[in-house]
Amino acid sequence: MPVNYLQLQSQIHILSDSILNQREKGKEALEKLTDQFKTAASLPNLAERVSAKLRENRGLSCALPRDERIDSHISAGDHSGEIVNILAADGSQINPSRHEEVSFGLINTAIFKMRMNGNEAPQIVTETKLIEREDDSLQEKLNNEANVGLFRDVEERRLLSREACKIPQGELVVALTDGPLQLYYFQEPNTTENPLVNEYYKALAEMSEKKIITAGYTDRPRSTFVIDMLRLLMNSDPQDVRVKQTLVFDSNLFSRILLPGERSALFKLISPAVEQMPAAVQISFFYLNVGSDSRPMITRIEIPEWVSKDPAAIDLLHYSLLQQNGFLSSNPYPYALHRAHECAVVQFSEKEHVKQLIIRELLSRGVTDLEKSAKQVAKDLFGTTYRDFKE
Amino acid sequence: MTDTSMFGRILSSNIRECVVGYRINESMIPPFGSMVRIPVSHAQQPEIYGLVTDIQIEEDGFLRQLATNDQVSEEVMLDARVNRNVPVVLRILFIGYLENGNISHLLPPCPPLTLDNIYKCTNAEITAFTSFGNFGYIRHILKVTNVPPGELLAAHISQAAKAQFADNHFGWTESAINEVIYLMRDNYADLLAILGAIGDADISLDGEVEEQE
Amino acid sequence: MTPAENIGFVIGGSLKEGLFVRLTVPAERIQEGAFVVIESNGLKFYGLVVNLSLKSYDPRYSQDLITGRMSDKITTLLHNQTLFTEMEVLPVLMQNTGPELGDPNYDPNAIVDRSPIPVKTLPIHQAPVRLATEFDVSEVFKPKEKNGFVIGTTREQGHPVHIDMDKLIQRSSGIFGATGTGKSYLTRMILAGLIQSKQAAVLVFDMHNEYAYGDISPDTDIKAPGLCEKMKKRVKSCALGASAKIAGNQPDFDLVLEYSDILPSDIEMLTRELNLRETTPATLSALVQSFGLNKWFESFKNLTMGEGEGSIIDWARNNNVNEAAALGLYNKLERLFRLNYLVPKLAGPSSIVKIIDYLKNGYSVILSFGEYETDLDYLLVTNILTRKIREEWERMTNEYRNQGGVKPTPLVIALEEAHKLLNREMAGQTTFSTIAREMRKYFVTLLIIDQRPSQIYDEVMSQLGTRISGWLGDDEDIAAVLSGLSGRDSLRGMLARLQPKEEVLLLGYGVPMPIPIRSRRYDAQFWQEILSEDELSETDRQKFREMVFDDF
Repeated sequence: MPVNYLQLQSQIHILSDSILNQREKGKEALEKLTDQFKTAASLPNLAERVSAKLRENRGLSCALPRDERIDSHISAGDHSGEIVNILAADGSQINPSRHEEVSFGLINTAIFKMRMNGNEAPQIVTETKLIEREDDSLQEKLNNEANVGLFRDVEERRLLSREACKIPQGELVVALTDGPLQLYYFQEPNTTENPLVNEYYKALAEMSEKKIITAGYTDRPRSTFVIDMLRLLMNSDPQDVRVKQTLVFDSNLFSRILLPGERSALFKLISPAVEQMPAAVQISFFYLNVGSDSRPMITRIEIPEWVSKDPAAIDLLHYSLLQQNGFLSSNPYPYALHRAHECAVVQFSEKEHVKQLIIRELLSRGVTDLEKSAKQVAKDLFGTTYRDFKE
Repeated sequence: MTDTSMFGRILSSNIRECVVGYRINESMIPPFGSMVRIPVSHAQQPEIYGLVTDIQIEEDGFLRQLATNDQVSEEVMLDARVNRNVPVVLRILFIGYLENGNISHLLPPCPPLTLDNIYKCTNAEITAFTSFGNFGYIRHILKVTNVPPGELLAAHISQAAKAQFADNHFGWTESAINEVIYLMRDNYADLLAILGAIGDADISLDGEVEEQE
Repeated sequence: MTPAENIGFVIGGSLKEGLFVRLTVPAERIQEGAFVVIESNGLKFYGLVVNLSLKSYDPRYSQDLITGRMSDKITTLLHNQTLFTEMEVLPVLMQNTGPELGDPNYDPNAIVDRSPIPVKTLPIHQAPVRLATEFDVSEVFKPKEKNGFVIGTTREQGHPVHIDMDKLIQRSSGIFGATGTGKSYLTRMILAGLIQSKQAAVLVFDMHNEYAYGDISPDTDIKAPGLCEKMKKRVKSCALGASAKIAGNQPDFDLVLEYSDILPSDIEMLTRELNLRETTPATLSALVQSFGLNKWFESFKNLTMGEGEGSIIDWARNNNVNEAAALGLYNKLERLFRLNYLVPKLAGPSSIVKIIDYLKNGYSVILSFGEYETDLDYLLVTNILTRKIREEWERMTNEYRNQGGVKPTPLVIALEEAHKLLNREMAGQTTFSTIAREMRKYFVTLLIIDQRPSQIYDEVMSQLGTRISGWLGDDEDIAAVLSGLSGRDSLRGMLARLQPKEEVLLLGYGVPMPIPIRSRRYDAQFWQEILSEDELSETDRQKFREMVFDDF
């Protein structure tokens, strides 16, 4: 028996106790935080207060209120009938594996473009890149999964910008990516010296110049930027704030505040990583309830600086996101992002085929000592009697 | 997509048939009854010819989600029709093979390997294979069990007739139908069903698909 | 020669049942009676189509009307393979053709007997079948000697069919057909062919005055010439009775009989005609006893009625003959006593001798009965004449056989309305049945022409060698024509379904195999062709034959 279920039984009991206990604590904490949020909302000069606190505690990440009252809950305006270009980017990657006959990385990036009210079939652009080991500038950086991930993020952004910029001037464009705008995989210092990171910023800057509305969409966010702000304001000991709390998330808080379709006030994202980014791509965000009355569903929308300064742009983004989610209302998620993901995914069979193509090329050039690792051979034995191509 | 381009890979196979899977959009799916080939990927393996006997669109939760939604915009519908890659499983019936340049209407000596590529046949390949010998491969078609043989045969003759006609082989269709009648005349009911299907395919015996009035 | 198109292939059969052939051409192209050839392993089989039947691969293919359910083209393809015609072939002859050129067994020096013989084996399964070519028809029907006569053509393709005149006269023959089937024209053609061939002398008993000077055809209103008009040098016309004319024409001579020519048996033969009593033979016998064989008729005629010397009653009493019987016979014979062509004694030579002399010398004679058209005339004259002829030919033959004299000229006696003389009742009494049965040995045969063959005594019918028959409506007549032949069942239908005009079936000894033909037309062209043969010398003929055979 591979798993000792008898042994597990008592542990499951203990685990359940613990979870229930956490939930109880979380509830209590949420009540307290809700009260604090309301109190904070009525404080005059809240943004200044938070800024002051931040100056005292450098290196913290939290939300910084902008012009709107933080307990605002705002509905979107009606943009039905307007022609709006919705673009979405997504990528997928194959990470190099030393267990395979040949080790290679691959990035597949897809852009999905739909022109709402244009009565046209959407368009799909995909680009596939093999990551060359011999590339001097990257060799060092691309030796782990995180670096392939960074490369993917950059590719997504670069393609999104390229495709968005192709749209004629004057037409409305909303360009979406999945996840935060800030680079997730790359949070080391001195990032500006990394050419990939620079390329990422360059792409953002291009969109900024063309006033393209762009946003990062985070589904089921576990961020605590607003709560951390409250803790910073309310807590006497700032050291407490540095301790990450995992009982309550911002989404829990906003699910009590936002009705379906409503967005929260706009916040500026303060973090050490963001501080290193150029001014044009400083990040703001708001929460958006894409759920229903019975089942609120809070998402976080990150936008760059130029969008955050344009209320009309925010309103169109707000409207467009609700519309996109409406196409998949039983499990809300922007349609365009879903399709970009579908197009970008690299199937197992495709990966195998690419590998075979590389092996054939090598064989034809006289390389004969290509072998899988023993571990991979064993894995294949158990996994390949029936290969379903479904994901 | 030209006739020759690859459209999928083999998931499983035996001596008689194989199952091919891929994510492709509607316009790329080789039609029912069309001829495909699985080229040599190993020295000892012959190039196998087959017919598409079944096309199965796999369960897709996403489409179901769209279908149950109240509001579906025109763009989403167009997307589903034009762009969306749905998972498709094709079943291929083997009808012969090519080894050392020689066509055979026997079943292949060994099945193709999984993940081998599969290609649509060009007109030239169809003409060469179907003109070879004396329609020996039709017996494989008549024994197909997963679809009515008549439907498969009608689809095949319709495609092959166009290829043959393009190559100025005008008597091919008539000979093919004669062979079918010869092979099936002991079985009145099945033969009439098959001829009915061939008739419904509106294949002109000159090789052209007849104009519908 | 272009290769003939195959019409089907053998699918089964037996010597008993005949061959079954699956047709690969539309049924309407083949008719019952068609002459077909099957080649198989160095043998050529000649046969006749005796039946056609519609078959299907599965009964449902013929029972369900699928027209309209699928396109006409597909329906045609389906029907071509599932519906077909099965043809029954009566194989009659086979011929050894030897191995083909290119066959490893082919030996250019080998002598192969190529003459067709009756079928003794069968072709192989799926042997190809085709309609006979002109070459095939001539292979089978054209005699190797010059004695062939084109009697007509095959029905399908019009290839000429020959009849062997030698064989026709070797045994008695018959020409049959219901009234109006062109029997008399056919007879005229055959007689012309026979006369022209110089194989035999012909004596025609022309009861209806048709053969010597012709008549007006009831169908076309055109005058059809007679044999005497066209073949004056070889045919003599003779009319019954002194100074008689034949349809207004002066005959070459006339026939008058002397009383001494009449024998009691001639009278007995007329029993039914004269309604004679059972006592007649006894009375006749007494007459011969009293007056002698040569005088009895004249003496009896000279007896008087009433009583006293020289009277019939007196003669009866003296000779122990029943008086009433003698009187009765006398009364019955009154009809003979009144006949103009019967005279006590001729001044010149006997006209019977004249006829016999002509026949002996190879001339043909047409005896027209002129105005004497009663059965009595016909029976009496033909019987007397034939009896004399028989005696003469028997004598000549015995002389030829025993003393090495001259071979008698073969003689054919053409007999119209033959059933009058050869019916069951009469057959025993006339000379004709003897001729039919035995006279072959003495170079005399009959050519029977009749419309009711069933009325002819079957023993005579079965002796007939060659039979040529037009359409017959009556089943008994058909059976009679086919009596004594093999394959009767197959031929019966063929005979019943002949076209009433112009088509005839050739059967028996004179033809190698039965075959229905379209008979030659009795017209100006016929005469032109038949008479022009005279102009061809024997060397020309030989050259022509070589030329024809080189071609093949």
